[in-house]
Amino acid sequence: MARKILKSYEYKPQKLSRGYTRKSLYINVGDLSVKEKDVSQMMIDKFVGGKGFDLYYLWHATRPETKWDDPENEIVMSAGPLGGMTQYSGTGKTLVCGISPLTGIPIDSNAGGYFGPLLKFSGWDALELQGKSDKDLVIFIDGNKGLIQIEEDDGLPEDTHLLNEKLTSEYAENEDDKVNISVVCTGSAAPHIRFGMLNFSFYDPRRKTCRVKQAGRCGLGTILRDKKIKALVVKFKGVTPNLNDVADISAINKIGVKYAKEMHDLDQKQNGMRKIGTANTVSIMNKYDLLPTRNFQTGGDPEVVKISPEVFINNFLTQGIHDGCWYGCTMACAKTADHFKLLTGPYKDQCVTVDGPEYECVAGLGSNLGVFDPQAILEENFYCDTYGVDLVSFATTMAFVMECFERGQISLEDTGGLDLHFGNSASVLEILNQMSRGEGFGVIVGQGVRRCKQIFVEKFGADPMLLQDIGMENKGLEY
Amino acid sequence: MKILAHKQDICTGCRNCEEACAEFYFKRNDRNYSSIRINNNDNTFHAVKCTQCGECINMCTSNAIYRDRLGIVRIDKKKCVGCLGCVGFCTELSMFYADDLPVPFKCVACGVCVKACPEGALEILVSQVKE
Repeated sequence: MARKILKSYEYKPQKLSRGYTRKSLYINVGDLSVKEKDVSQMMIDKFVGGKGFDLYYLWHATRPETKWDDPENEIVMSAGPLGGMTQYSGTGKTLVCGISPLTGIPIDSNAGGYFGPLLKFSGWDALELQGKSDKDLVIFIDGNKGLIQIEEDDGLPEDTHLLNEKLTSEYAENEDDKVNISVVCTGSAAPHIRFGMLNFSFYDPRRKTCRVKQAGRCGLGTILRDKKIKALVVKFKGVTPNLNDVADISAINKIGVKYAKEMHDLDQKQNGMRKIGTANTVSIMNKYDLLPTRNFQTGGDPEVVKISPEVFINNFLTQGIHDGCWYGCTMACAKTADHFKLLTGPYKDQCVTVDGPEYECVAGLGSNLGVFDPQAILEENFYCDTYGVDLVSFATTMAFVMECFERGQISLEDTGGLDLHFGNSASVLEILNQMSRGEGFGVIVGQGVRRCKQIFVEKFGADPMLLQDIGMENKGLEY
Repeated sequence: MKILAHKQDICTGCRNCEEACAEFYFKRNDRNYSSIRINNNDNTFHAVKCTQCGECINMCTSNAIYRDRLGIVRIDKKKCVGCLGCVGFCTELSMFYADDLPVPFKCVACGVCVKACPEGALEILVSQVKE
């Protein structure tokens, strides 16, 4: 690694007491300033941590008139006081806030993966990123050495699965050290669309590859690239059961073991989270006529059987090996399709590990687009992830666009020749590729439903009343 | 593969095995630090100890549990983060923990308890079958 170091800052990592380090980190990528802030007792009492801390800092950093692409807009991250507990499922979360490119107002999103806990164990209850750089940057936090480096990008790859592997290998001392690294980044589509997302990586030593969880909603990846941050990397070695310095570790251990035993005994009879994750609900939603289908026109379809949980379990998802996204998470709802061969796109014929599909993926990119092909859904899932596209906003916008196409509101000429009838997964994947390349009709789709409505009316002569009826967004955010 | 076996019909429940195990590994005279636990069920003594089945290997959230070349399921203390997930997932209830220890512990069929048993109720079985 020979990236030019633009700024180096040393600090003394604070040990945790009752879940807090009582320090937060501020980085301005515009003037490359780094500051340590004290977390006050008032903040702990009133705002607790996580989203509370994020909104506290965002409130103080911005004004009512601040726009999403103003330098003063922030991306704020915090794990919260319970973040990183290894005795319970779901404590690897990072809560993220900022002013959204889609809605223009403060939003939050959260992700699994290792970043939040490793950031806190590195000494920081929260992290603020403010300012705008004129060149692409990598920010590196070493929680063992107490070192922050702002480095100049030297031609790193844009897409998540390549970028994560490269940065993880570069910052790790050896293979065993890779688990101590987490990368936050987005992908090649994020600068061209409004719903670019944040990918949070962790290294899976069994699969020997980086995997990702997403703070997907509201365009946080678009903000990251607007600030010209290519990646944010944290490294911390030494996770142990009580780094949070809890008040009563005996009670925590006892209840944690009870929780794990109940997960072992009951999950297979109830939700099947360890087998299929949140996608277990697809069949249930279909049965109760609640599954979004063809832009929410119906609540299910007989063809859903082709994308049922059993199809993914039997044909795609690796079973019986831990695949959760933080230590101690026995629920392990993060699933993997290992050795998945891509059939389309720039990574065609490559075998990759796809993280997913979540319920939102199967419902959004599957039934709601009229796509009842599990291979195509996983392929869409992979490209959304690696291009940094929030698949919820993408799926809902795409469903809206497809209904517009079917109802004659937009034509083949308007879409640049793409046939957007429901079920045409090849066109859906091409739209994703166009987002990655920043060209064609994909860039219009990447503006989200609210702006598509306006563009379709003004440019393509669509009926505004109909578009208002069928576009599923609220305040500019798709759902 | 080595497995610790218990002869229920001749065990008297003296618990010398528990004492020997806790003393050998943790220098404690406390059965809560033993990897074998003798439970009294109406004067029938049942031993809780690892069968080396290995179900904990794949569920371990930090990839710290492995089977060694002799077939014994072991915990790599450098990799284990002490989440205790394996304790809750052990079907034999034979993965143990203590609040003051950083990682859980289990029977590795070492035979210390066999030597300590005055009745000969414990033995190490050696099988050629290795998973």
